[in-house]
Amino acid sequence: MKRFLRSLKFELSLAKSALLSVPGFSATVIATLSVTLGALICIFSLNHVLMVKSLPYPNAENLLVVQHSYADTEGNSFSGSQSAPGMLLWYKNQKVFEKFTLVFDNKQLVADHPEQPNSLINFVMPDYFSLLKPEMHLGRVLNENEGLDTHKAVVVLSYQTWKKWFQSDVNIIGKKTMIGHTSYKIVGVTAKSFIAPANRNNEAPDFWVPWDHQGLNVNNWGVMTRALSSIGLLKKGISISEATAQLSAMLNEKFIASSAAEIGDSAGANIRSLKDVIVGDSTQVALLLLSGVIGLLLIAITNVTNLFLSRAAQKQRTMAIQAALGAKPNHLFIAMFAESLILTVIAGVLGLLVAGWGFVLLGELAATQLPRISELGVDNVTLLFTGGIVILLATIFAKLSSRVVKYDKLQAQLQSSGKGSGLQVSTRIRHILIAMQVAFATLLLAGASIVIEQALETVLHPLGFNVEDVYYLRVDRPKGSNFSPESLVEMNLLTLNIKSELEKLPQVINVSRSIKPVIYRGSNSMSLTDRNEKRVGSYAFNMVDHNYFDILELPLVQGRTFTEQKDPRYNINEIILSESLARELAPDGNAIGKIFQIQPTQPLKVIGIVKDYYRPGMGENSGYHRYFMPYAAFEDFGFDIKLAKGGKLTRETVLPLLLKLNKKLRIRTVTSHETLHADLIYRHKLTAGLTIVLGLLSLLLAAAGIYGVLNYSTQMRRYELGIHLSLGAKTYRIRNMVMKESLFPVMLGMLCSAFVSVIIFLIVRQQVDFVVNINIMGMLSVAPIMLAVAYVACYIPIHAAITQDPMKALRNE
Amino acid sequence: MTTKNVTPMKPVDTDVSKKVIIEMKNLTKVFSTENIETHALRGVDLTINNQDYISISGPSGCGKSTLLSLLGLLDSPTSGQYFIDGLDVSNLTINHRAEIRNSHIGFVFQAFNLIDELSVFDNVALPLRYREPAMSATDINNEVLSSLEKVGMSHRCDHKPNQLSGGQQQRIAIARALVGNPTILLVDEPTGNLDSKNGDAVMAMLAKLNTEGMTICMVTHEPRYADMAKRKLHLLDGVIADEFFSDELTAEEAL
Repeated sequence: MKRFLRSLKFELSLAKSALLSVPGFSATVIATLSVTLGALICIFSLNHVLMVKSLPYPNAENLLVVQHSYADTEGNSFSGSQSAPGMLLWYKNQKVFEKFTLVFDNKQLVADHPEQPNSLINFVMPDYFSLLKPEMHLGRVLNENEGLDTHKAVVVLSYQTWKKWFQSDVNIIGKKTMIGHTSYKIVGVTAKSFIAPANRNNEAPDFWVPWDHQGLNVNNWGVMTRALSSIGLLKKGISISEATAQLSAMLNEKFIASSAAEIGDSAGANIRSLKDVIVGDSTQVALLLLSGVIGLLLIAITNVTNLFLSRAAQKQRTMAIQAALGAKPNHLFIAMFAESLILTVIAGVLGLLVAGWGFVLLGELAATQLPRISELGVDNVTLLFTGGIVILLATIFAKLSSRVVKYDKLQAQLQSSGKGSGLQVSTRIRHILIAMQVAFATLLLAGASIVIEQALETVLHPLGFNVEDVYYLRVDRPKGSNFSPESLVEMNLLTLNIKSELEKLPQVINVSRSIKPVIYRGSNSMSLTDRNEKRVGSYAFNMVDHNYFDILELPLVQGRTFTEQKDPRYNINEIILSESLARELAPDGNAIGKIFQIQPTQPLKVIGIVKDYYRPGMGENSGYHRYFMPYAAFEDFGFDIKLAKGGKLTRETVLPLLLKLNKKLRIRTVTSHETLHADLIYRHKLTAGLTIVLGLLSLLLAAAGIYGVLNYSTQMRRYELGIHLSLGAKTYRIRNMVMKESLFPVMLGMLCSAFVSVIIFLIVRQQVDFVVNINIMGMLSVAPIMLAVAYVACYIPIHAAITQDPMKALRNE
Repeated sequence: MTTKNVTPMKPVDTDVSKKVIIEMKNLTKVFSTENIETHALRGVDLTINNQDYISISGPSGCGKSTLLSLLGLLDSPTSGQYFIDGLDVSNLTINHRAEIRNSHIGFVFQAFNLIDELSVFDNVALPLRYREPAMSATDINNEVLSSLEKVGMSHRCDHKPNQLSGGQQQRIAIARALVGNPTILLVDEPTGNLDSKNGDAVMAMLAKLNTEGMTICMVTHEPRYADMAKRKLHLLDGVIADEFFSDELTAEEAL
């Protein structure tokens, strides 16, 4: 080893000078590898963070999340949504966790801030902080006296919130801030390094306040939300299965006794690691990206191998001198390794810079799409991986280069008469290189075509309703309102008044009330039963008024819309079904007039059938089964507002109108439906964009690689081509002859990729959860693109060689 | 000058100064392609004694370069035996042959074959870098400087080969050949790329080295330079057709 290192040290100094004398070669290798390694390092880090790296908390591997799971007699089950009474039951009575906290995340406005930022609040128990042990920048965390039923109005700020919304005020401790309708005393600011567990939308909390302020319905077992969760650390000696059994028994007993349960329903506990919950199914995206960059790396390796083979041929005189002076084969290997090591190390360093840029880009583009993005960075693992891949690549290039150098033939290079023929990269190796490049690129493009097609399917899918010039306004319910019948009437009246005020704005054409936007991330579903109280299914729903379908230009295919409700006393006795749901509930096509129920005492008569519309990004649940009920102010107030062409609606325009009606009203959101749609398709656009870039990069690398190999090959044949030309051969004959030979490995590579694609398809098809629809025509469309690129890459060097005077080729000018 | 036809192998001289250092017995080399076999050497018997100065000449294709390649262990014979310092080197492994090249043989080529990217010092030091066990940096430094002193080029240590004239480059090549204290210097057309003035200077240097005890075997087309050797071998069709022994001459006299 010592001898190896000593030789390497010397060869490195020699390689440095040698590489400076071939700047074109060095720059090409470095550029190709640095971009590819940058992408690889970036995506490797993402996979490492998502799949391997522990969460940044003490005892991270033992932190668990307990959620509810429910099942009915028909075998339907679901989990992930929790009821507040169920979670409180566990909190108060569990004996399996050493530490346990409930977490409810909810967005609220910072009301006393001039910009009223809509911030994510975590309502937690004091154990939250003893479990995650954040370092503090200022002040303290919540203490034991700020636990359940203490009603202490104190708040801890995240470092980012403190910096962004409180101007990094170092004297902030003890000051007050109004979040929602509550004034909280600021007691602490977490350290910059603390990365709090994000919610299901990958949003990090801005504030932590004691649990008591969450405002959930803590008595109704039927109200469930995914925003409610828990984190715990098991007591020593308690297994996950024991904990599951105990918590399930405790929950089931109370749940089946509640009014929310039907006969035969059951509830249980579902315990998963905190890491699994945070990471979710994002590993699939990460693995997809990893397979893409590995494909890219293989193309780059093939390209660079070709460059190194040409370089080895070029270097043979130097190697022959070294061999004559007593250098052994391993000395020559070290010499080649030194060159490849210098280049790969430089590419690795640049790759780290590219990866650093990639981390920023991912943070900007995908922070809300992928979890733990904020943890990406150049750490020891990244450096180790980069070091490993750099040495591996250097070894591969040196090994492959040394294989084409015939040590025992090197002496021919030293013949004084110049009879040495100059060893060349063999035709077989050149063909293999081209075939590999084409095969890798075609495979990658075929894979990319599937991803792009699916992403574009979502992005370009017609919505079925109009988003142009339609805005959505969401207003927080005023403090003090509740869901009693009297309060609901009062709130209904308020929404009618808001609607009326909005209609007075000059740019407003029409206004509708609804409890949810027409499209949004997540779902809101409720069970329907038939007249005999037999459950027919759980479907997405919305509560809207008579203008809703007009504003969205969502056509009714049968029946009518709701009648206008001028009276604030709500009357929910009608229902409108989507076409798909109508077909399911009334296969005979006679849905109009049928009666369904959401509660035993509340019959709903079907009065209309509305055309299906598409909810992007919902996968299989894109959403055609849904129903609509007449509007009642059961949630925060939503308004769909049709504006005059090109009209705009801003917070500043709307807020005075609201405050005129009620000083406690707060605007949660004012946004266009186009923006809502753009948000939903963003991830798919990003996927399509990144995949197109990846595909283009693959094509470019493959084209450059094929060009490189054939250019070298043509240069080697210039003399021969010169003879053909001097003997009177027409250029088209020579071109056809050489193109035929050059395109042979291209076709071979495409056949290989087709063969591998079929094998992959057959293997993947066996997977039960295989849901990717492979469009064979889409994949086949890759073939002519690849062929065209390869043809051009083949044609250019040949054209250059045969369109010059034959004498130049014969004189090797 | 006296001449005679091919002489039989002489018995090994017991005199240390006339010790046999190279011995080739019935050495052949055949280059084969798919259809043709070319017999480059057809049973060469050659003995080289310590402090010999041999020139090899002959027409193109007679096997001069092949013989020099075999002598320098750059190529393997098809048949026959080859001894260096009594060691049979006919069938050694690649690595063992490299070690012997490094420690026993110094090469001087027509085209100098210096590595352009290396300085003069590093070019000369190159053989010592491959030595096993490794030499210390100080020893390498001393040996290189001493070798460059011998050819009068120590003041050009930091130059690159392409900054030197042809004659200077060939002197550097000679310094590199000498730096490892080889048993024999194999010299291939040393003046082929030089003008007559520089060629004469290089030849004078070789003659001087021989008088100082270095064994030299040189391939040359130039009769004038061939005459400077003590033994002249004439190759024809892969065999040693004639061998001449010249009278002792000094370099100056020969030129």
